[in-house]
Amino acid sequence: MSVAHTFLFAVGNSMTTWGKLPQLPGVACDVDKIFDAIVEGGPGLGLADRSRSVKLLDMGAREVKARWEEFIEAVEIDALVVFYFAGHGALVGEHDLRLLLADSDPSRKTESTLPVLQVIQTLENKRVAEWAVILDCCESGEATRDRAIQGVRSKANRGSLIACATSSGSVWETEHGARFTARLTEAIRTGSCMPAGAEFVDISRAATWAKDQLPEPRPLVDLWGSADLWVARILPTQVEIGHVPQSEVPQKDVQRVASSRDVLQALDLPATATVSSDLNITAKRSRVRKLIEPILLENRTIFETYGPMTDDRFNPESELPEFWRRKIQSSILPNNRRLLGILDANRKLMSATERGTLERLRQHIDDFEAKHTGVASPSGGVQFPSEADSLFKDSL
Amino acid sequence: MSDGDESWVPKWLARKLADTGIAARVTDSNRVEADWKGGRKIHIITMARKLVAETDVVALAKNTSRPDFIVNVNKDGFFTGTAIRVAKSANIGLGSYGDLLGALHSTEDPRNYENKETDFIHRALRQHTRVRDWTRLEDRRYRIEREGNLAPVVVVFLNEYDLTAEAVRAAADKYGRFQAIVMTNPNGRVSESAKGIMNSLSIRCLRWGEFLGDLNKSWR
Repeated sequence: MSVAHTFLFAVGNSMTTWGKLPQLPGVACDVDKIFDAIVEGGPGLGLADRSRSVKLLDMGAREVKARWEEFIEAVEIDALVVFYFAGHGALVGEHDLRLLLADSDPSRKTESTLPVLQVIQTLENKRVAEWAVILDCCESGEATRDRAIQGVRSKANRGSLIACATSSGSVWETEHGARFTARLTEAIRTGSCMPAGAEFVDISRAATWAKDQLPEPRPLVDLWGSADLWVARILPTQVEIGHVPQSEVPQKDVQRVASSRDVLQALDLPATATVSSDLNITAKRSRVRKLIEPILLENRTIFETYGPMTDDRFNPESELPEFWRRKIQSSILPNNRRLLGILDANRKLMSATERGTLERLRQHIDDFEAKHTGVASPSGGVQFPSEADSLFKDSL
Repeated sequence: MSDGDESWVPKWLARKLADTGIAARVTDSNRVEADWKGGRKIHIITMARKLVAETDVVALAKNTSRPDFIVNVNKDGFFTGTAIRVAKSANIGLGSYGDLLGALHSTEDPRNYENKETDFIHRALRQHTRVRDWTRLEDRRYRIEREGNLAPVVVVFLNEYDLTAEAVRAAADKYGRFQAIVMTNPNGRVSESAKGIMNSLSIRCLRWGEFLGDLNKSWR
């Protein structure tokens, strides 16, 4: 295990006195789902300590804040702490996201709401080894744009995750709960977000998997560091679903392998099938291409819009680098891992030249990640091999 | 002063410009003519040398067929401050291949072209309340005179993305004595070995904000 303890603090608010916001009947289901998925002894194989994890529903600000302080006070620092919120969110300033509680009131916003900044500040002050803040509420993506939040995120720990149900605006909600929580907990319970052979579910992968399942505005996953962020075990039978033959998986770096679901999506096969189907190579390659193309495109768009080669490199006062650094953590690093996973799982479909490209890409991704997670010197490293843009583009 | 054979440069330049969509042709052993907007032709003198000094520019400035732009295509080349001043007063553009491309793509007269980085540096110096005046000793090395009792400082502005030990040594070779390297690239990063070299050379490394702040203080 990467940490000695895992704890969950889940808050749900289906009603609030803030404005005329509607009731959210699905919130109770959301809180139950996350609790069942992450906490030990539930229907899933959660790792969180049941006796110390907390589930609160429809409570006022004073009580929630007191319980949060009490909870944090009691946790050991060699721990993964997961904070979860489902309910209404409101912006009270630029990117200043407040979680609305039962008695939240716009005229007493300081004392009657729970600022996301305060939650993260508490986690940082406690210096827990790993933390994850999961926000299933409107405007949740704004939290990742809050400079104060990114500022208090000291990055002195092993890693942290902010996963938001929406990059901007409203979230999808039904009486049975919110879509993001539904997908997130499905990924945690089934382990479908993890590579074949993995024993634990990493909540950042689960959030990324959930993000990929949902329509625009899609959830936002802002990951920093190299923490394992394990929240549940995977049943051995779960690993068998749509397995990728182990001979195709580089054992030494299992975290970077794509989920078996990814591979099967690429091949457009049912979940019980394996990659050794009778599809001809050209069709398989074309499907892998369809899977990696959006990832390459997103990374390229971010690089060309915010990266260090824009004309803003000549402006020492440019603010673009702040956006660039944030997008590296929230999009490029997770995308890179996913890309490498898909490519590794489909090595058999590659030409010898493409395998060479894959290895150069792997070195680039490793150098880039080491540089941007503070593991290696900030300068140097292998550049992105431009031929990687054409992987799986043509038939062999 | 020429470092050697430069006869290859016009042909290379004309082809390179053509690759970027700018029609250009060789007109002499050191001249290229490029098409600009409104049918205007831009006359370019080509060089490939380590240092472009005042003498290189004076002769061209006095020439009856005065060029619009002097380009030095040597990647490691640099210009003396006096060469820059002579070119400016003669209304001739002067710069690297990148500067020439910027000038030809600019809507302003290429003869008056100033690259963005230099524009930013000059604007910041002009607006800084502690800066009385400055002299451009070479293209990237400046002597900055300050108000009050504050002594002048000599700095080199570098736009490297990765400031490596090699870049520091190259700057020291090229520009001689200076007190600090000021990083103008907002994404710029400094390697540990570069920090070590700067330490051994007693050169400070300043990010942009630090530099503007330190202009208010006395330097050791």
